[in-house]
Amino acid sequence: MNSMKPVGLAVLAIALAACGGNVGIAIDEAWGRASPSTAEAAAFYMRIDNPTDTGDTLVGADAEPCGAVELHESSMNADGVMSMAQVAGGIAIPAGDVVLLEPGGLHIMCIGLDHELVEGEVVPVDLEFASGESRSIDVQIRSG
Amino acid sequence: MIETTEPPAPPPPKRRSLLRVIVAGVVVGLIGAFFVLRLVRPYEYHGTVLQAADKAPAIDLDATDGSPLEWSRFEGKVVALYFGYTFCPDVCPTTLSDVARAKQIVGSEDIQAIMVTVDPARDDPDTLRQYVTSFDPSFLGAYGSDEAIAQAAALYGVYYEAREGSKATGYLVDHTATLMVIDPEGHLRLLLPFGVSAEDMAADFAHLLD
Repeated sequence: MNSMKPVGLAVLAIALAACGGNVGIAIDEAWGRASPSTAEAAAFYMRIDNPTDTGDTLVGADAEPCGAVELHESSMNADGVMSMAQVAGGIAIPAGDVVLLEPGGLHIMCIGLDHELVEGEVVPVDLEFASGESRSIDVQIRSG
Repeated sequence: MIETTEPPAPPPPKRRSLLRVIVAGVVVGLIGAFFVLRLVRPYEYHGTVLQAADKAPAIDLDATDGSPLEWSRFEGKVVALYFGYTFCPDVCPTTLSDVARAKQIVGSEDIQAIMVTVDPARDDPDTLRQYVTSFDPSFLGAYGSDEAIAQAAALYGVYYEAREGSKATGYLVDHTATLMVIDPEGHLRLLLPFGVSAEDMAADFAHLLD
């Protein structure tokens, strides 16, 4: 019975360390629409989950097919007019929050495509965060 | 001798069953009324419904199939008219993709999508045609002079304005993202705001085709 205690504590300590330290920001459901031929730009969408207790900010991204990558947000005014603008300072991912990049809202804009993105293709994208963290994700290209 | 009192006699059988019949009748009646009202309730579209006495205003533009854009060409069809541009990475592909899917769901060739470009400087006819047909081979683009496009937009209450973007994007164009739906009789009938799902669009198109 006594020999179990230190082992138990050690296991607990390791478990806590794993939870607090390395889980970090999780990205999933990353997708983009197959680009119409001639399209120069494409949008990537995803779900960014920050389960930690520290906020972070997505400040940039890189992907091979894209000449440049910017963070954008589409928004609609009261009259139904849509406009799109770069998100100054990056996309904030507050502690404990989930931020969705989805059609009609926040998205990663891939500019200057070097080829038409086709359904079934997977585009590796490197995401950069203000904290210095980076994440490599696979964006699934699908139609509609 | 112990005195016992008789329990009170139950109500006579006839009266009890009459009560049951009445209650049952009311319940059935209410359920029936609920379903009947659901059936006769008018169909609800997913956008603003217009009651235009006049036909949809004509616009002086050319379509990407080589012929002028005239509404008489689409009599008997539902026309989904959209003002957008090919450089738009998020809103326009989303809407056109949803319209393509809605057309597939309805399963009819009597749905015609048309995108008027609000960016004629970058969207030449060939680029426009390739772009719209990527969503569905039947889709048409519409183009013309700056004045003709401005006039068409004004007729349909569409606002558009070029805005400075970044060096990478070049200019961006703000634009009304509403889908204008012209019914098979040629009247502007329905305005669908951005964000209506393909399923809801399909339901509305199917209803107009009925």
